[in-house]
Amino acid sequence: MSDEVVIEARGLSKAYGRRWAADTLDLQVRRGEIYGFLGPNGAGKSTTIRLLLGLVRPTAGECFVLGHSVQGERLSALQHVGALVEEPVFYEHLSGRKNLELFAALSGGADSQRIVQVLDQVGLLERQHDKVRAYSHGMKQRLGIAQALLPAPSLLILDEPSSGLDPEGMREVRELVRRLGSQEGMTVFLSSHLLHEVEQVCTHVGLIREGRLVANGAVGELLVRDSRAAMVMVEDARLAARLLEEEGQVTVTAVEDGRVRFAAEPGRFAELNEMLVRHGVRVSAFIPEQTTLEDFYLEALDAEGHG
Amino acid sequence: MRLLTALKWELVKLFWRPSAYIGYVVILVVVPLVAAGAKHIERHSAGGPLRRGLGDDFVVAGNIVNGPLLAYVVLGPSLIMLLPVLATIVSSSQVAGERYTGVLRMLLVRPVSRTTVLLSKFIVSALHAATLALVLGGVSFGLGYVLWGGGNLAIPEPPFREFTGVEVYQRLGLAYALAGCGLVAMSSIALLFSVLVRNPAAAAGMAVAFLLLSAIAEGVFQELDWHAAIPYLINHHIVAFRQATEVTIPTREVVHSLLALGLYTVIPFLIGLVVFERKDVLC
Repeated sequence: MSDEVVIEARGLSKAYGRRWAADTLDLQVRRGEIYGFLGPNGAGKSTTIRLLLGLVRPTAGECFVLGHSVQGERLSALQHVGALVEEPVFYEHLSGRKNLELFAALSGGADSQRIVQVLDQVGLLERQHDKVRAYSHGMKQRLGIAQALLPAPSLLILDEPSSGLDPEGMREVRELVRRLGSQEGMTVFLSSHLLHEVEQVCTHVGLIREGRLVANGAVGELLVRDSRAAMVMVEDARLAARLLEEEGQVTVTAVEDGRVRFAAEPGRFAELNEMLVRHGVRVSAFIPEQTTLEDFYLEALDAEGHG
Repeated sequence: MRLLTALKWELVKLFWRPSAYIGYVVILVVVPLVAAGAKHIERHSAGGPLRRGLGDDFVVAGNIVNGPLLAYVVLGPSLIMLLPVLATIVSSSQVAGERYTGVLRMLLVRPVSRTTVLLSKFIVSALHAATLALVLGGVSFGLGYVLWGGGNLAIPEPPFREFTGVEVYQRLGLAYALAGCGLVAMSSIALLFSVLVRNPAAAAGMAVAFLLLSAIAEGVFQELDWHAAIPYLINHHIVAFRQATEVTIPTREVVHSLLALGLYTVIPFLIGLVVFERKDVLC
């Protein structure tokens, strides 16, 4: 990943009456990152995306996309951006292909080959000449991604890209985003409720609550809580916990039915296993524990006082 | 170049939509009905109201009902309310309709200026409105010609006047040109309301209400002898086509009407543009 900043928000704020949908957001996304933008409903994710795309004027602050001010140089800012904001909507009386031709024309043009390419990428090549009113919700979602890919963007902004898709469709979108980021070097900024999906796909995440960014950083860094956290699955958890503390000199953090959670270097697992077995404890497995994105998300929201 | 591209696609969007043809279909239905009515009157009532307008000062021999007269007669009632309503159907949905469905945000995330988007919609709406006048003239003149043939244009209203030869077409051409300008102005007003509100039906209703209020105001101003205010009302200029068939065309009044309709076209567009440039797209 390079150091070039492709999205930058400085004190970005948007108020609707007394409610701040975005509140002094300071955000940077660098080239090559796949940035997951998380938050509960009404947190300000869509508002932030609309601010970045110039659909909405900020109350205060400013934002830059690909080095251009969205407020002052909107056309230049959006020149190499593909975006899908909320549910994709099309001209229902036109075919999928015609809709893409129309959007391509307004983006500076895309040749027929490019249109075929993106339709193929999203699996709509066979239905391209059908009117959009005949498309299912999932097909419209895929067409929405296709129109975002049309200008071969260097920055892709997706708002809930998997919304309405079946599991296979979700997997395809994940693979597509991953491929766009890793193989084509595209920077992707996506918002999603699907934490496991963001965890699998994104390199960086930002968590927004009530318009404020409460956490921001690389996924690997944010999810490191305690690299020594581990769990052992045993028949007699109480005996195992006592032995681990007294003989093994480790800190036991929780004793549950059939399992004991503790903190120890992974390199000591063999030694601890031998000790437990020597004292007659039947051991099923030693498992290093990792914080999931869901754990991080819920802890971060709890820390900010979310109910 | 981007404006031409946007314009092309606005035309595609408009004329691939069945609702764009409502106005033309209505014209195709109304004109034959008017023609049938005129034919019936002409046959069974010795010309009926058409000849009664001439009073007892004239003895009419032959047929005054013909293609040019049908084209003239149909313009009055059509332009008072029907055509303005038809003109607003398309314009009122240009922005409000796309905002209502959400497709407007799909357009505005692209590197195209809001000015280009609105200007292309304005041009297409104006073209549609102008073609309504064109189609009305073509259908009424054509049908009248087929039924009764061509000939002079005799206006059966005092003071009686008759136009002959090429002047028939010049007068009718001017009348329909003025009618077209009136419809373009109505289309621009409807487009302004389309920018201001979210619901296309509301935008159309507001545009028609604007015209109705203007007509009511004209009546009130006349009653109150506030004649100086009447030239500022759009209603006064929507019916400017009548000046085309005066004995002597009142050039000054025609120019004033053209200027007034021009202002009623440009000013709503500019107001709409300022609002559209600044409006948050939340849908």
